[in-house]
Amino acid sequence: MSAASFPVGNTLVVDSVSAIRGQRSLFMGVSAGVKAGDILQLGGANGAGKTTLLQMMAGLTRPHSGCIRWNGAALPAAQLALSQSLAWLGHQNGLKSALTPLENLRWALGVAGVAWQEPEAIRELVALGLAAVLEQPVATLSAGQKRRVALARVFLSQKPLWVLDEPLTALDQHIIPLVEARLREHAARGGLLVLTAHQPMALGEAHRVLQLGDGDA
Amino acid sequence: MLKALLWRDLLLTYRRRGEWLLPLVFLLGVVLLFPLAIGPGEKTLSQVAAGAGWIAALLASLLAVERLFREDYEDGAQSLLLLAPVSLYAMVQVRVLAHWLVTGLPISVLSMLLGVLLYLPANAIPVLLVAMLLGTITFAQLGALGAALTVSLGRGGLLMVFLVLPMYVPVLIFGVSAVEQAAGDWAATGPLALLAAMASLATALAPLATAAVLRVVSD
Repeated sequence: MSAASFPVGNTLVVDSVSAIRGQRSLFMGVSAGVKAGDILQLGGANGAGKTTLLQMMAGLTRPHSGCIRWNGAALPAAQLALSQSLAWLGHQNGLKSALTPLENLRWALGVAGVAWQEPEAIRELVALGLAAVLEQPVATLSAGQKRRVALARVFLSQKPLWVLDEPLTALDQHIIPLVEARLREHAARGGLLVLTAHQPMALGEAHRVLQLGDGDA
Repeated sequence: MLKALLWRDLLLTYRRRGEWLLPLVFLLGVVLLFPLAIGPGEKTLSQVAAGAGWIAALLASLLAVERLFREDYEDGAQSLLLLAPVSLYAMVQVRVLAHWLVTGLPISVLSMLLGVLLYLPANAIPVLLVAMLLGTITFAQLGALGAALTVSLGRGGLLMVFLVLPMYVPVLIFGVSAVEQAAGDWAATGPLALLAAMASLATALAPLATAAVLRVVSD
């Protein structure tokens, strides 16, 4: 992993955003801001709209009202600039089941505009405990192993903004401290991190929680 | 970035050769059944050869394109593509190109062989190839639009057939007429020019709609 830091000026701002699903209002007028070095965890009960807000912050979903700003410019006009700086991990891993973990990293990083460095990728997969399955199609991996491959993609992305939906889903207990360390390291390098999680996470001092669903946050 | 996408799609096709072969085997099957159904006489067969070949190629194209976006939509790869720092229009072009390389191109080449099997006059075979190459481009582009529109429906196949078939009809008409004109020793440039125009128009414009649909569907 290169230890280079990210530019300090990056900001992602959520400006009184509302979401409506069907007839139901998920949340109203939510505002938040993330700057370089920040870790923002979205909290709230199931159905509170954590994933929806996360998708809005990545530009996958449009807010019903309000807007999202990346470095001061509002989406969707700023989508390209945001995409250039963004590593996304949804609740689905986005892995092709017929390809091996390495092949998956290769296409996904390639599409994201990251230069392919095979030794780096192998090192990352090995660090995440996947040495035994490097050459196997992803279809034969367990849910936790697939999640690790998807996390490896984020860790290798060299993007300043990470938006992660339940990054710890299906992971073994013993690998969680490693993932948490990577997330803290990312923030320490001047990265921005937005995530949802069900379990308490040890993410250090930069860690803030935004509760959705109990009045206006 | 686009190269990585092309590499992925071609590699996925290679890994799933069975799935890839299905439309080609289907094309072969339909055309080989024609002599059994309507008799092996050279005169009868050469009369229906152009139409039979085109109908089989059309249905094979339709069969192949239906799942073009479905898997990416279901496994979450679609989100990664939507969030890539490249225009979605360009990515749709690449995905359709990869699709055409592994379906439209082999269908076109195979159709020459089938033309021979159905006693199509020798001078019509090159015209058949050119017409097929142009026609399958249009099939792929319009089929991709249909596949995007039905991507979120678990079993969208039936709806997609109804959406796309009417758009395929002009290609069928001019494709058959190009081959028949060549078989009758007439110049086929007219219908071929129309097929080329349709392919260009579909390639330029259809991905705009396909990209817009994919963005809306994932919202």
